[in-house]
Amino acid sequence: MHNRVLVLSVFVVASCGLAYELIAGALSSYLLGDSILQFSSIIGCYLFAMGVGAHLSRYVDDDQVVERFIDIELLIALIGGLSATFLFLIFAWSASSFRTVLYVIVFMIGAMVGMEIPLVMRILNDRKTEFKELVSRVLTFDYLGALAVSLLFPLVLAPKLGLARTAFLFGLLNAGVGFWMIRLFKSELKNARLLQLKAAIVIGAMILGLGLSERVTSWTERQLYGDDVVHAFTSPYQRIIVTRWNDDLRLFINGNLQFSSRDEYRYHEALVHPVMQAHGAAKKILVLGGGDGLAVRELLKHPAVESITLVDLDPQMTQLFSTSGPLTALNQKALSNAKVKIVNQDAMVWLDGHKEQYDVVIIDLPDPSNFSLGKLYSVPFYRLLNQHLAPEALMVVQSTSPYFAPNAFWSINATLNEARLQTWPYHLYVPSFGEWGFIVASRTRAFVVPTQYEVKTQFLDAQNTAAMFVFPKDMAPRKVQPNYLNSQPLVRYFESDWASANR
Amino acid sequence: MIDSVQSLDRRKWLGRTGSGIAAPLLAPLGLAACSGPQTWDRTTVTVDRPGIVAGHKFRDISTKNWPDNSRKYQVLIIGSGVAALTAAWNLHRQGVRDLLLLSGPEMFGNAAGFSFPSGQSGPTGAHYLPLPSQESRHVREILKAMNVFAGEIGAQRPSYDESVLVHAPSERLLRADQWDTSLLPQTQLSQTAIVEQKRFFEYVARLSTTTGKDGRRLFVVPIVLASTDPEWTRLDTVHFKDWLTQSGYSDASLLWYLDYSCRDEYGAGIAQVSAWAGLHYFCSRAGHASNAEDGAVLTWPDGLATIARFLASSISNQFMAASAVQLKRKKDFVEVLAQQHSNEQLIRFQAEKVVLAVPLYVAARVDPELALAFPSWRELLPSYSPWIVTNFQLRHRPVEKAGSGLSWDNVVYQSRSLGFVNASHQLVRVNEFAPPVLTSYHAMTDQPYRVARQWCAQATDSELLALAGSDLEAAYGSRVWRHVDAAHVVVRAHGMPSPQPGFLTNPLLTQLRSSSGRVSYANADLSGYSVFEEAAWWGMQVQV
Repeated sequence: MHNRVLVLSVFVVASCGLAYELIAGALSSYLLGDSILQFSSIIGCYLFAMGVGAHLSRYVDDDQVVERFIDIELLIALIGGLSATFLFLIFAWSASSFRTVLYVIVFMIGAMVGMEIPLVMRILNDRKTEFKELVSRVLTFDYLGALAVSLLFPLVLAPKLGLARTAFLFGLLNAGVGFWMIRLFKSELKNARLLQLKAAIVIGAMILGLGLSERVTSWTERQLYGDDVVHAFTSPYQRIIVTRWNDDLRLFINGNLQFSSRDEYRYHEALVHPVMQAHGAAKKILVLGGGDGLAVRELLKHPAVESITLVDLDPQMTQLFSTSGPLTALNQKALSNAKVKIVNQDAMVWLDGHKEQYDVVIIDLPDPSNFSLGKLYSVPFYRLLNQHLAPEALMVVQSTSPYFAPNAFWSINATLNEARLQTWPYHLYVPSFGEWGFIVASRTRAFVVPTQYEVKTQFLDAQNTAAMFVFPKDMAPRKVQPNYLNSQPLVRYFESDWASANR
Repeated sequence: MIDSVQSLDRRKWLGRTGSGIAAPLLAPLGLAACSGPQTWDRTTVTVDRPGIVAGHKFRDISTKNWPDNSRKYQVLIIGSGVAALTAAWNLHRQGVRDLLLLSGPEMFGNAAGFSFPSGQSGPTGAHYLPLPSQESRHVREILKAMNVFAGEIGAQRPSYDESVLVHAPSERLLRADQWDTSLLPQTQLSQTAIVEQKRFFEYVARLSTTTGKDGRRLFVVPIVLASTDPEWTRLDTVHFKDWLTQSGYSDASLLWYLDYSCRDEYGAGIAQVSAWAGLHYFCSRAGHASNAEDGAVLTWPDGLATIARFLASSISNQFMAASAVQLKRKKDFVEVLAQQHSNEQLIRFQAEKVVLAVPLYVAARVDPELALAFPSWRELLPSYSPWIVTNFQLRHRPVEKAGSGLSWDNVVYQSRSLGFVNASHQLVRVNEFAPPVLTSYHAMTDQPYRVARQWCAQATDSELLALAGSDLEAAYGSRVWRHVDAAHVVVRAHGMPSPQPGFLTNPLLTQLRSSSGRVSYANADLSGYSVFEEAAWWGMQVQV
């Protein structure tokens, strides 16, 4: 009886061991991307730790083998069971220490799992099992357990239970093995009571975890992104996260909200239609940034448009918004339209290498939050763009919030003026962003605020368009420095404006 | 390509773990001019020692057998550095068309640049120009022709092309494991440091507008326009360090800063340069701009190679890859014997005018009359400090320490190296994570130049790289090597002459400056220290 139970416990223990390894690999691939790297390094770390554990097992005294085995089972149950939830929380609190914690946990579990089999073998050996039978049976069940989990994990457990609950489930199994062993060897154990208490606590914790983990992980993700994550990956340029909550799709880049599908039409209508309507006959369009295709969707509403060139750095971004079902539903497959040409290149490098001129230029680039991005709101940048403006062209620039970052907004306006462009700043309310601002610029042509729109809109009309170009007192123009590259005041304005807005 | 002992040695000093399997097998084939690029783990290294082979070989060429036929030019310019290019550009501007430049061993000399296969470039020599003062009209003329300078040539505050003015943030100093925003230490200063800093900078600010008895400013670029008032030129008789001690400066952080500045400018520290030269650095930079604060600099991704290319563009097909061996003055012309690099063929040139735009230690070998006129020329030659300029192509941006982020000039407090410049700093890119090219500078000031030169000639690639990368390691830890895709090391054994006490009155320099006739000398060496403005000045003085 004892022997059979012991061998069965090897099966369970082996499956638990592999499960924690798979959970760690899956979790880090999910959070950090680059799954090949994550899986290989975790398997490596884990196997090495097992070796260390096997080595350490020799220091367990012969008369304490059973006791230590039970202790180890309970400890694995606790650490392994909590591992996924704990790692989620670490990532939410301090992403920078995530990797360190991950490998420490993997190493700890690996080392303890590495001690299991040698200890079981010693227990069986004490029971006068013949050596060749012992090795054969233990290893057979060890490998069988691994097979079971390697199939169950991707097919059933991960999709149905999720990583956190799977971890608690295996923790429960480990603790169960420990509990069973206590019962089995009760007569031989000196302090069976204490061990039973420990086992009960661990089992209780695992059951509690199973019940609560869903809430903890979704709370964690909500802390991170607010909603359920539907796409999460890291390109060479940025971390792209798409979340969904009911019918609200949201895009985050490097943790910053790019749009919410609930109100993005406000932003993109306001970005695109005032210049398009005012121009009247724009055929060639250039879009810088905007890899989500939402501005392009609005542009395609204008039948006169013949070609749209979209320059976005990140091929993975435009790929995602060309192929993902819910996202192409949102941008109405704009990026696959025959009129649209996608260029995945650095906009500056691309502009430098071309002489093409455009009727309308739409600039939807990241906010000037650092010295590198601040250069995209500089006189030399606008001067370069100037060369790509057809004589009657209009340009519109995403210019951060005139309410939260008024100094930054008016500095962008001053910079455009410094580049000898006339400007017409405007703003509107986008619920998920707050008050947001854009600036129309042109070389010579006077921009006339549209009094009607020929395309169908959900938000824009004659009245609110007129209101957009009026700045109330709390957003009134300010006398601020243009963004000279030598000093880049814009970046300092942006930092201090948002610091005081986010108090 | 790499023997196993060497590659082991490399792995050891890099202190890296990881496999690096069969790295020697991955090494690509060598380039002709440099030692072959060597790859181990993931860094490709090339080492260039411009002039080391050619320079020493030309000493041994027989000057007895001149070819019979000669090629005739109105003007023959020997050299292709800033002085040579400025002379050519200026003469071309004045209508001289019959002109040829013999490039010498390295095109553009101390203004050369380098491009990685990625297309990103960096300087292998000088990387910036201070705002030119009103006296540096010749520099302003060049910049105006380049459309970098706008306004009257003599304007007090002209404006400069914004893309060339150094972008913010321009500098930072790594001190106590934290990046501060100013190279001059500003945090955690003792009371002495605060007082002495104030005193020193007030003093140099006063001196920079002071004129001598002859009515000229005391310190001017070019130095031939500076005051010769003996009350001030007397400062050229003492070392800067001694002058600082006598003047009561003792604070370590201030002395470090002054020493760093001198090593960076002259390739020689405060213990080596004269007090006049030391003060000259701080007092002569009197340029202002209408669109930048004082102290701003002009810089390009590949440094002054951009200016060199501009100067060369007007005479683009009038270069020959050849080095002069000897010249002879005849009655109506000058004859020059030169060797073409491609086929080692000797060529005889005949020119009405020859410009020797080469360092003086080369000029003394090419022009026998110089040696005749100055029998002790060897003692009179300036001392040349060796420099190592290294461009690192990064793969990604390494994690920064606390404090300000990557700046144009990044210096490590109390390092014996000169820090590193972000050569990609002036680029405007949407991709804020684009991997930069970083250029490290090291002037070998810690041992006698001759010893340092010998070390440079014999050092293995890994020894050179360890020295060149020491400030990068200080900034990013030894893990920085994981981020380095390729490194290009340029060893300038005779990098620049150092202005040691007595350089102002060195008879070799003062007499060659006023040389007239069919052979003109043009090189920054004539000023006793090597900067673009001085080199260009001597190039501009050449007349036909």
